Amino acid sequence: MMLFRQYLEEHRFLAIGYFFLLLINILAGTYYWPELRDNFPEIIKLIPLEPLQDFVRAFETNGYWAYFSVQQFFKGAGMFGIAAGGLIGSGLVAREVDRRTAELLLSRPVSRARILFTRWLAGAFLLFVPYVGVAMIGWAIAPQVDEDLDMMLVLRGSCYTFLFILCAYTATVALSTRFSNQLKAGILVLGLLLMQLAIYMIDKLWDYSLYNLIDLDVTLPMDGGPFPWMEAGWLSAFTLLFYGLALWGFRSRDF
Amino acid sequence: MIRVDGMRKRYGEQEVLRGVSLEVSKGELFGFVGPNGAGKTTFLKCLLGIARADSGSIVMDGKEVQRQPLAARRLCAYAPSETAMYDHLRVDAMLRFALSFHAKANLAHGRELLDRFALDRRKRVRALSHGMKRKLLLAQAIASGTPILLLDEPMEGLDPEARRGLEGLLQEEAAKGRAVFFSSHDLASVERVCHRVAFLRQGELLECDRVDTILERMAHVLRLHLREPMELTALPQSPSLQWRGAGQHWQLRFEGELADVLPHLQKLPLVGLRDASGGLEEVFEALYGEVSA
Repeated sequence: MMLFRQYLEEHRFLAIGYFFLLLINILAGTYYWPELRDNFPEIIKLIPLEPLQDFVRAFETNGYWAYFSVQQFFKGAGMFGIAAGGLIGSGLVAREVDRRTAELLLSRPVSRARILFTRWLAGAFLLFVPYVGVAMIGWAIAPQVDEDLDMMLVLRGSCYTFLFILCAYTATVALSTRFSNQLKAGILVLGLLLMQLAIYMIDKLWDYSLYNLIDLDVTLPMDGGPFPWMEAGWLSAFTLLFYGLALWGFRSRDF
Repeated sequence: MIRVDGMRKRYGEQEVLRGVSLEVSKGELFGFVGPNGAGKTTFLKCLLGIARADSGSIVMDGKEVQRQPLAARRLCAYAPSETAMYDHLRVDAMLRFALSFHAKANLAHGRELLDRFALDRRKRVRALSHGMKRKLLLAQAIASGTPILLLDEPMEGLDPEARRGLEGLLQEEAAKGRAVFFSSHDLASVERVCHRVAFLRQGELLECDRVDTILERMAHVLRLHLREPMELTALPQSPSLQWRGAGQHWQLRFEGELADVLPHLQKLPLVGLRDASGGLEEVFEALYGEVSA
């Protein structure tokens, strides 16, 4: 419990910052919606990139759920969530080495498996609560722009896209167990994901981007359709794989 | 309490520990001495399983560290030489955090020690000086209630008064039956409080014995400074005389009485002659030569 609390306390400001970024994103997005809804053709003309134009066309065709999905799930999870996951995950072990507190922590009578799990859980909690909390705020304020969202749908969408954040976060944790510098581990994962986002923006290449896992092709059908179990399964499997690597990396390392 | 047999540790090409063996008993204060880079911290890390020894056995009160690292760590409290801690925590919270893992820890005792060290419990760790942080680390180790205390450079950063206070504290803990193992560069402290001492050089134990025995053995050493460099063959030879050194600086270990040795030295171009049997400082110098502690 002490380990969990200590990790929460240490990253509380980061989590607060993450929450406010998500909140600003959803508030700005929500209150911009009426203007967008009334001017689709003009706005599409102003957008240079085709993938982004496709997004806006999808809003026009599919309505507010598509728009909300992009604001909260694609942007919120794919950018802010990943950034927060990278920052929180990269410090899990590497920061202890970097600031020379690893000896103090590892000399306590607690197993490395428990240290890793407790801290990983605390980090996941810090990522989950603001993310789902802001999604709920988005759901609650939708009627103010004359739209209506199904709460269960928002929750299901949030849980699914959180798996994407969790997977990236766990990959960063795995790197963190082998690095002695938090920045290096964080920058590596963030760099890879930015590259994925860049690929997503390139015509013909975008099929190869991991961002396909949280784009409208996956989240739109959730409205009235099935939960994307296969994608969720892959994300969970990779999360488990990265967790296994993290555990191996941490347990086999000399400090 | 602690039994180490043939501990070896290698980092890449460098062999940091070369078959170190020693034992520490219950109620014993054991000093671990060596110059920087001798392998003292690595040795302590291996005792705790923070680093894994490549070979050899480490047993803590019957628990083998390699097989039961957690059980072994439950017996140990550790104060690292690095004073880095969780800076965002207050002193009291840091103490609670460190003690929360030890079943027999005594928080009240920890707070009492902080008061004794004149540490403000409401201060943030980041606001503490190096010496204050050292005291906090020592307080958490001592208050942990474990039968074994492992302290890496506990005297480092402490003022002379605090050192004396800590020496008394460690003696109290040993008197209660705890095994206290500490590495140090402060040979005067080691000499004052330790029952036994081990000298490590480049991962090898040079000496490991009772402090008084080592001092007794070193009571027959002279250091000579000659006006001109001399070869070993030019120095007086006798079965009772052992020479170490080179050029103008020589160390003479002798058996028997000093009065019997002095006539041998009369013909040497002496500039200085010094009794090297003063204490562990002299032992250190004799063992490590020009390497400074």
